[in-house]
Amino acid sequence: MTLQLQTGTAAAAFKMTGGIYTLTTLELHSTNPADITNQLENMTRKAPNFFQQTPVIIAFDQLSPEQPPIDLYQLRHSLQQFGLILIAVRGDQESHKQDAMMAGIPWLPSPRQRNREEENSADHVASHVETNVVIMQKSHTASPPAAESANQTQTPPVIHKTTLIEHPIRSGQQVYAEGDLVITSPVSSGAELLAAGNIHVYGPLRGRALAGVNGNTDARIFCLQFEAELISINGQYKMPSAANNSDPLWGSSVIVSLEAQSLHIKKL
Amino acid sequence: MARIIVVTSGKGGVGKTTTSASIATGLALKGHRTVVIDFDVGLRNLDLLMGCERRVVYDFVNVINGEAELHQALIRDKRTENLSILPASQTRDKEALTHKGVEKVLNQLAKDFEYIICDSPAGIEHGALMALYFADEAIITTNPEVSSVRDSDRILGILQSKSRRAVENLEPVKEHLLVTRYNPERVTRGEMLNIQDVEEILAIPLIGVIPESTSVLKASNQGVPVVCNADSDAGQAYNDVVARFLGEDIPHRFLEPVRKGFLQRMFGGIG
Repeated sequence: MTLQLQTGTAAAAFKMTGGIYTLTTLELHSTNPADITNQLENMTRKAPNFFQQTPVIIAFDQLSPEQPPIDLYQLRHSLQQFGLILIAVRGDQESHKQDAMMAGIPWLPSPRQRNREEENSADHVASHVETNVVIMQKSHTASPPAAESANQTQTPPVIHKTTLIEHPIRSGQQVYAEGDLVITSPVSSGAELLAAGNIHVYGPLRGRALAGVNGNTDARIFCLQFEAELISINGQYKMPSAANNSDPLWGSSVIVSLEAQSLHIKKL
Repeated sequence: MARIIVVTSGKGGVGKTTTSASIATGLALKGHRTVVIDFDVGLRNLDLLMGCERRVVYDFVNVINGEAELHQALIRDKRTENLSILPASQTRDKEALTHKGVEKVLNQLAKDFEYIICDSPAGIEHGALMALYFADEAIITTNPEVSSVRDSDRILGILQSKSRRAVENLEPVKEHLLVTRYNPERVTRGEMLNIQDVEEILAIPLIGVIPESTSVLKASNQGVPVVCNADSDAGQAYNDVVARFLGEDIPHRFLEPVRKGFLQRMFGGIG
């Protein structure tokens, strides 16, 4: 998360920053859609929530040239069903480049030759797990190593500390918490709260509150006096208003949760 | 140790300079050695309100740049000898206020004065930041209307994040809320925010309420701080503010509409 925390007004509309992200790569060893779907099913059954909203890169460079070509649209669709989002394609052939262009996603060159040599060594499964690569193998050879790799990529969830703020959050201030955010003072209109986890405001919430910003759909917003400008959980947002009586809970203690892709506001 | 007090608001035209002039004069009249500094470089006004515009030879920026000594730039107030004024420069811009320069001048003033009042320019840019950076206390001047309240909220956020006390993790700046241009009749008619609304939104202690009054404009034009006019409601209200600032416990006045008597209603209110 490259987030600018600043109270000053920025003259520029945006700032470009660079960042290094760990991404999951699916190295295809088969182009048979049924094989791929089966393995995805196996993996997601073991860890249903692990792959939610996970960006992935599809790597074609381990496929042998004899393999029949794969339909990128169909692959993207089946990945999406398991929560994986295809963001780029990796492969050396010109056709891969064209496929990526047609699908409107970036094309990445293959990593250096050195990696390919490692690939052929005996312990290639282990080395891949370390670099967060999940290997898609042909079904008849796959089962034991693939199951093992899927298990090993299930790193335990990182627990972030709760951020506690006891002073008022004023207009123009922005607060970001990697875990839960607890505020025991008023949050003014024009202030913005962002948290990967839940947001608790023990006072009036008059500004913006965005919970679950990193994709946590279970995040909730709690406040003692609901007068928010905007509330959002995992990107689903709502702009409450006292004026048109659309929010009968305006001013009362509420809990906001995300249910079936829409925000639910309940009295506490 | 001198106390540095910034009078600030975010929004312009809410009464910062009027407040600075009256509080500085009020403190001096109560026997405290006080200096008031105009930080509004380029839009110099404080000297007009204090009635000393014809006596400005050197200014704040001259002192910062080493072109004049501090004692040459300080103007002794003609009403009370405890008060001095450090005027702003009219021909420069706010960038002339350097961090080091302002600190040096404040340190020098701290040797001679008990209270240093910094009259902040409007906005949240360099000039306003320089005025509030060294503050120990802040008087947040607010009109009872939403844009002024929101701007005050913004400046409170800046005080809590960008002042010296915030940056160096010292005890936070002591904040006081001063509501100016309060008109109880218009509040009753629902045209203005009431005091409770403003207090609830800003959540800082209220030091005073200055009623909207024709005497304020008259005082500005005459170059006499309104606090000197003991007959006017605004002057009395400022006097109360000064007393509260010095620790006295005085109930708030001028919060309710004035009941007009029979004759007044017949002939219209005067003053």
